[in-house]
Amino acid sequence: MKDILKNIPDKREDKNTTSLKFKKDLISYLGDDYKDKVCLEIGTSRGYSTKILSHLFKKVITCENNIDTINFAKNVNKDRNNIEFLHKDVYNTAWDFEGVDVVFIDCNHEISYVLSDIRNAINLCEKNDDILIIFDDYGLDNPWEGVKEAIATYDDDDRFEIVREIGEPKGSDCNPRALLRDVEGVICKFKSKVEYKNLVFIMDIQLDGDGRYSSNRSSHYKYSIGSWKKWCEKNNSELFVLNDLVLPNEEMGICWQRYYLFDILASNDVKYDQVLMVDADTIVHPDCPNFFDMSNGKYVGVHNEGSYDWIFRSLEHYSKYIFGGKTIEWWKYINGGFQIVNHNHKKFFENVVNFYWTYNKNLIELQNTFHTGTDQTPLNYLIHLNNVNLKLLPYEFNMCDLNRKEILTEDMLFTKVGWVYQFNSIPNQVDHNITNHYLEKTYKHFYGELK
Amino acid sequence: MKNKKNVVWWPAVKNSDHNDKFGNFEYFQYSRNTWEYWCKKNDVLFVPFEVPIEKDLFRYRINWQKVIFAFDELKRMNINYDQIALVDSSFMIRWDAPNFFNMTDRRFTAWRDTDNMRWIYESIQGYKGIFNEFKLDMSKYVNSGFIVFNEEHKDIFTSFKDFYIDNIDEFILLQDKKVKRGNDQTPLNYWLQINQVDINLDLPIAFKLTHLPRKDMINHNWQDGDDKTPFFIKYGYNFSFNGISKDQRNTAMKQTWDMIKGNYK
Repeated sequence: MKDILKNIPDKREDKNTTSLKFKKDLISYLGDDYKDKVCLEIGTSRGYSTKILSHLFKKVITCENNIDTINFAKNVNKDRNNIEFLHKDVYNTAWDFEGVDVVFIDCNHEISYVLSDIRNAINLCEKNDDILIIFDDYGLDNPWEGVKEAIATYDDDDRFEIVREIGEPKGSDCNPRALLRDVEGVICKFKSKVEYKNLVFIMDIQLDGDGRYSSNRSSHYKYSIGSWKKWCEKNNSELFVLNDLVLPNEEMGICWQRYYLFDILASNDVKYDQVLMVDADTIVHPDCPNFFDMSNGKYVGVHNEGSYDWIFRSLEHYSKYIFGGKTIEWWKYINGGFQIVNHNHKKFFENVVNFYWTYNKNLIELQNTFHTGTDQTPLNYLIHLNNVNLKLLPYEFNMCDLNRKEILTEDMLFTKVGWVYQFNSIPNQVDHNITNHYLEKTYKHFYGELK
Repeated sequence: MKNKKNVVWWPAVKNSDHNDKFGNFEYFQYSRNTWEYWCKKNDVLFVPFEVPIEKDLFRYRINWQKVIFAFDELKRMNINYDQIALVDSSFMIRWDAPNFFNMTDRRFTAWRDTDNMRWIYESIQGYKGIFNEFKLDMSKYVNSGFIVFNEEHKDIFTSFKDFYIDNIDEFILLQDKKVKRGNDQTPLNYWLQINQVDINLDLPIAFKLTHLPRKDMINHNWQDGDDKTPFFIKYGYNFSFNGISKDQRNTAMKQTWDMIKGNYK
């Protein structure tokens, strides 16, 4: 161990590295057990930890976005020949690594970035295998939520556990900026032996009146649910249909209540990997590709192609009356009827719900004044303002406003040119008769009579 | 090679046979005004294509010529080009639109076309036979009115030209009699996909705002405030006056120019 730590500074000498105790604990934990394994380091920094890792692993792949830092680290490690240095933005490029056994994370410590790191690390874990994920700065006392809070979001996930605390203890002065609020680092293990399935979540709730979930509209949602059931069977996913309101509709509109998703699933003891929240006025094509495989662990939506008069008015109203004049990139504006989320977005959904309770009076007034939507536009602002890493799928995965595209016709042309059909924004409807007609007709076109 | 410049290749040939249909092509000037300004501002060479290479505009529609002769003509004009943006003269670019040449990663760059999906589907089906029943991926179907490419794509354009000339009679039959769903655009899509050209589809749709009425983008915020600026001007970078009756194009582009010309000084 002495040889490995030769010329390696302590955190007290160089605040950009880990403490010597952290490194010693790491060496002690890993020992010689990983000499034939591969470590992926996220955030090379000055390369001191990289050097330690290169003694413990057969190979180290280390990623860093700052080229000057990489050059510094290369110099520190000039006597090592088992390190692959990558100039890579780990938050905007795919983690297309293979054969990784351990991931060492010491990069951006803001919670959303850490959650992204964890998700990407987990995705590297082969089926029926384990992966070690090592975190620095677990106890760092930042004014924002960081590593500790990110790991805490996995408290109820049986597959994820902290197996060892490492480094300086809580209260240590190793960081010159502030005392540690908890132990410096942790080693976690993710076990993929327990398979959590992807989930399709649909709300099918009967309400009185003329709204989205009024009984005359929801009468045909059974066809939507039927199609999603078939899709789930084919794609090793599960369907969860919510039939009860979380809160009275008068307190919180039904569209907003879907952001209680993670609480709903927890209270029903449902385990999941990713979740698609999809509206019940959709039908899915039986051969629709598995969109869960396309998410890269990100928040997924589909740009709302439709009436931009409505979208721009909505954006302008919410900007002016709720979001203090802020704007968003409108070409990334998504439809709320198709959203894929995962564990990493729990915190974001909490923010959405909190936002609602903070601004509900203004929101309702705005809805009733301008009629430019309920949750959808605020959701888009919040995605933007919370820096949620959003991935857009092509229009074919949520084909709204089909009439505008000239394909919502009795020849069923829409069924030949896409995967998920949302029968909304249809003009000249009476009691949702056209939506209902196409829900039923499209289901029968693909699947026959509903049983 | 030094002193290479990005180029805007702007086809604007007046076909006297269609003067009535297009109102003497007066709209060219409004498009030109915006592109000349934008090019100067962004140190880009504006290259109008106003004299056809082939005089027979029935066999060689301008829509075909703008694509298949682009490289030949730039060479003939001795232009030292870097990237080339082919942009139809029905487009007007906003005065402050970002320089898209810096956003292409030097890949073939285009924008999806999903406006009238029935037209696109029928066009794809109609041209399938001439391309040996190739299964075209409609989710990658692009609009040919605004595309960006470079020297690396020269071979694709050359082979596309050869293919057109070798099959010119059949293409004319398809476009005028059998399919009647466009001319160069769908064949170009086939050619790009058959030849597995890497296409960058990631630039914002604000750079290719087509079918403005279909998208309800002509409107302004009629519910709140005094701002009467149409949405396409407010939120678009590059807007096309297609998807409207061709005899209305002059009027629509003139009205737009009158509204925004103060920004181009």
